[in-house]
Amino acid sequence: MSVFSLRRARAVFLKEFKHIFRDPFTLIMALLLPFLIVLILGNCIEFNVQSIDLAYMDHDRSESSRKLVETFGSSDYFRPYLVETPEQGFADVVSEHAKAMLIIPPDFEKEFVIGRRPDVQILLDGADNSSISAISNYLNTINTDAVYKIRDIPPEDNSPLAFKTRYMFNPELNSRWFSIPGISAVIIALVAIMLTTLTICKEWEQGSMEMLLSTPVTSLEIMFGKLFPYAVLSFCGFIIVYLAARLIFGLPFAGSYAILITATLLFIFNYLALGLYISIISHEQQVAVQYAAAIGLLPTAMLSGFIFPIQYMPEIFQWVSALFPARFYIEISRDQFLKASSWGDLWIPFAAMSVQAVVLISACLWRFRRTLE
Amino acid sequence: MSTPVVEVKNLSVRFGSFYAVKNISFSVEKGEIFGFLGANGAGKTTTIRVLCGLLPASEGHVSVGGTEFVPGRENLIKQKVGYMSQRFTLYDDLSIKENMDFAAGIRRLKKIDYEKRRQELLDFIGFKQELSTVVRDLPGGIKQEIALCQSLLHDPEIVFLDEPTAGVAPAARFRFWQLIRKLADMGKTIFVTTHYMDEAENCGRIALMRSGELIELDSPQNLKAKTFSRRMYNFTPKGRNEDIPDLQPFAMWEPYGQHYHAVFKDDTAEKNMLPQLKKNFDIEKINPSLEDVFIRIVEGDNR
Repeated sequence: MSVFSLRRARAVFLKEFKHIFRDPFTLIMALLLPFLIVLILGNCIEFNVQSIDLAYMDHDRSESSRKLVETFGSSDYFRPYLVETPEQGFADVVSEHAKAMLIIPPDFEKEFVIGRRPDVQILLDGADNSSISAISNYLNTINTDAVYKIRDIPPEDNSPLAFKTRYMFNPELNSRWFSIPGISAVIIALVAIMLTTLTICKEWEQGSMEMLLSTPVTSLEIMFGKLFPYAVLSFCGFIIVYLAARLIFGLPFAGSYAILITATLLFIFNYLALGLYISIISHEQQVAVQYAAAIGLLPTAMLSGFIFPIQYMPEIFQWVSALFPARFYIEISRDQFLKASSWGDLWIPFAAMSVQAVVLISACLWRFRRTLE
Repeated sequence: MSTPVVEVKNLSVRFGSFYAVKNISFSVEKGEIFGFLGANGAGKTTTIRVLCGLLPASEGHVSVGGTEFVPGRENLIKQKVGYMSQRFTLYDDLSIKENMDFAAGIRRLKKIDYEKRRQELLDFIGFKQELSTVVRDLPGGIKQEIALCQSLLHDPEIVFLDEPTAGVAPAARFRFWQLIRKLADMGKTIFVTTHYMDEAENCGRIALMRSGELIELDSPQNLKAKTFSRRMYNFTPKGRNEDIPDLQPFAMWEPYGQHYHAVFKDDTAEKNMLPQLKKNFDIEKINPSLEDVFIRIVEGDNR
């Protein structure tokens, strides 16, 4: 009496493949959805702020003040436009026509020439936190450039230290390079959790699980037979995301396919097992979908470092995020796209995901046996 | 007699402190059609689940096909039983062949044996359509018959049919029972639950369950004789007379559609009352049906 028979497991997964290919919804969910999500999230999640509308009031109307405005305009970050009164500029910021307002004082050129530091006022829309820090960063650069432009001589370097900054791995600080590897984690989580949860709940709901269990097929065989097709589907979803990343968003790939694929398979396995666990505890498709969204998707999006950086979270949430495989997968995925660390560098996330996989699958087997009794 | 196919001794199944099945014992012989009757929640399905190896017994012994039920070795039993339930029969989105292939796969049947057996079974039910027909497109009765074939693919000694004809048209039910009788004649043991009393008449013996206990076990004829020692009458009210007579002389008086089935307490009551009652009722002698028995025994005491 074998605990695992390949023949029986094969019968289960052949049947499952047939279900999948007869159900357009599953295929769409598994293949089209990842593509759409990559397109939408890839385009929408933009941490770089560009083309900021900047209302300006020029009380000086001198050559120097004009050069200052030009510096803003030629930076790509800002789109300056003239307003006649401070009230109008203020109203524009309120109504979000402008994100910021620049006010140049009447004696700007005079003070500049005699070597005093004229005060230039910048009003920023503090209600919009997301763009503020980016704008403040740009201001420093523009400050230096503007002085150079107005004086027409290179700025004197008073500092005894000179920082020469170069951004490694992502020279242009393109935020998509950062966000898209994370999107693949969210997509795999979505496809893997939802599909497995639904398929197993369906067997419970329609009563076929009982029929299955009345045959010699073991729970291990049912699990593997059921998970294998969805592992394949989830992996196809991953390939779609990878191709979109490279071909549409122009991401480089610096790392090793062996590392990325191993991590992806491990990650898929984790989420399939999580989906399985959810379906075992809930038994009903409706309940299961809610669990899947709450247990699977929310932490994957919120606590994985995909949107909010983990190192800035309160410590307790950093620990919570370590419970979910997504955090480790995103770490590996980002690394492989941009940095190309070696197996040795990445042993911690790999080890963490392996431990999670073992815990999840044991929990499933244990829970599955208990449910039957 | 040979060793029974199913032997249940002092079986109890407990969920927490609730006894779904309480200390029942019975055995089923080879080739028997064994009916398992009872209201919903009486413990029928729980018992079947134990006998199919789905659920461990809390107490007592169960053996199926000569194999003792031992936790961890359920597969020995699972190979000897076929199971079909009204809740689920076949996967709707797969074809007949795909459903059968699947069943053969999880039973690890050899390809040659399986295909031969499949043809035999399809001939047995007289199925002439394409095997590639998707189950969704089959009429309910045919679907049930195919499901029966599927549960017989591995040539089990005994099949458990849990309300196999629920929701199936009467003509199809009749056909299905012809198949069941044929199977029994071929030496298969049939263990069946049903809510249709006319179907239960086909059983060799009937077990009646109530609240987890086995309260009767006998052939339909004996059950009727045991339950109703006196003659049963059918009372049909004359005209629009809806008066119910004084029930004192009756041992039983049950409404039955437009009629009443009744049994007198004793000879004197019968002799004295009959002429009087004939004024308001058309009265005829009838043989009690299993339905009468069922109502009397299963529902009679705790309504």
